[in-house]
Amino acid sequence: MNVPPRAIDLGLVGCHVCGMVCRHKGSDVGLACPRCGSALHQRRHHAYAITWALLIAAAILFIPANLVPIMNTASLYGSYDNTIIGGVVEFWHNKEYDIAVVIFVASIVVPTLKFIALGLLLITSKRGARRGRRQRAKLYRGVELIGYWSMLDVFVVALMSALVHFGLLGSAAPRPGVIYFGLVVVLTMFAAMSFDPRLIWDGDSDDD
Amino acid sequence: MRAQDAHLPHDANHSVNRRQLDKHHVIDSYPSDGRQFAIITALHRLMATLRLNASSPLLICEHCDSVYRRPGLSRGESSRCVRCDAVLERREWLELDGLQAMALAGSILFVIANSWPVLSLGLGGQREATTLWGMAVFMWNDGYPIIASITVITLLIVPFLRMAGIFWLLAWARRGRRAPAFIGLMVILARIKPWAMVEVFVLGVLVAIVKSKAYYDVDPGAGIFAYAALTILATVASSADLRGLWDQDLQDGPGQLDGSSV
Repeated sequence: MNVPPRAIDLGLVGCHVCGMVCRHKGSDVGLACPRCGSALHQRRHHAYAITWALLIAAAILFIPANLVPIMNTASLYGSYDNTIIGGVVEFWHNKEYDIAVVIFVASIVVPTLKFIALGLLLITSKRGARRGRRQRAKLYRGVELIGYWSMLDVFVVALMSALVHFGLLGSAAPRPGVIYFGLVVVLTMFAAMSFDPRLIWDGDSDDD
Repeated sequence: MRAQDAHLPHDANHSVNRRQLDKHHVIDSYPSDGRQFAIITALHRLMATLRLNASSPLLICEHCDSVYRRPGLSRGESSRCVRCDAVLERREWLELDGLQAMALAGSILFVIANSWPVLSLGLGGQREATTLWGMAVFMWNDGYPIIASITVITLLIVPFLRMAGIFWLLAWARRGRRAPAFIGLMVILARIKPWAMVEVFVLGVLVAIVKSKAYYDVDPGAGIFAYAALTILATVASSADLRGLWDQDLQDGPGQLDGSSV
């Protein structure tokens, strides 16, 4: 297969916002796209450090996000603090298996997969690993694609809390866990954006 | 690979015939007519001083930094990177008219979606309903400004800006002109794209319905139907590869969103 050359070897930089191709050699600090004014990077600066920082922060917040209740529901039968996993278990017991699976995947599986996938990408790219570059490139695009679905539970809590105001008969109110959870999603999205997928392909050789 | 002997293969994974590709070589092969030659050389010199490639006959894969000559795409075609398999460029099935219609319909649906309640619950003669905005206001007043902000940004501001922005840009593009505030708007639209979460919200409302149907009399409002329809329109309109508009002013008359202008 005829392998295309890479921009960095040709002294070219592509603008990520408008697609403009610019000739440039040397340092890209402070370089701006002549067409749209966005910053041009041969590689995103400090991509490893920033992505690691955001990822670790998100992983730490993921602990209270799961331990602290996200919503309180009260009715004549009593008042309950619900955690995310508690909600999944409740749906499962009520034989609402499909909804239980949807929430479990969106709230637990997706964030966990994101931590693992981004961690893996960071480690293998830093080492210049050559194996499975194409698969890792796809993994990164997958992370970008599914990332925001974790916001599901946050919206459910906001909606239920705004709606269920029936006094003693029934009420719902948010709990701080939902903040942690929302921040986890936002931080992992920023982490995915700050990683530079071109780093997957940097290394001593271009042959896969 | 050394820069000097670098050659640019055409073998991105797409099906374009030879003639179409050759059209795009014009920029490199100087015409024999002396006058044109002088003009193009001067243009190239000017572009070189600005460090530009004249109207980008090149294309760089943003996922792996591979460089290609820009292929010409027909409607519905897309080109993929041979190195990392990412989509390089897409040309929509819908031409400018269709896309603009989508964006207009989306903007109208958006107003409907936010004017009527998304969901209402009933219990023993009482009924509670909320719009999306009401939901955000409630969260803000209840001491959760972060959640309220996330809700407003991802479900109101970003989706609406994208719809209205695309409509505005295309309205001018159809006349072969650049819209006022073109650069700023294009940059903003590209940057906010990942933060639109309408489809997640629609799924969230479904979950809320299932959650509450055992205890309450659930009545989905007009808002959620509008949001559901908006999800479809937003997916079509937002997947549009707007980058073609950057080159459009180099064409005569109404252009196409294929980004392959020479």
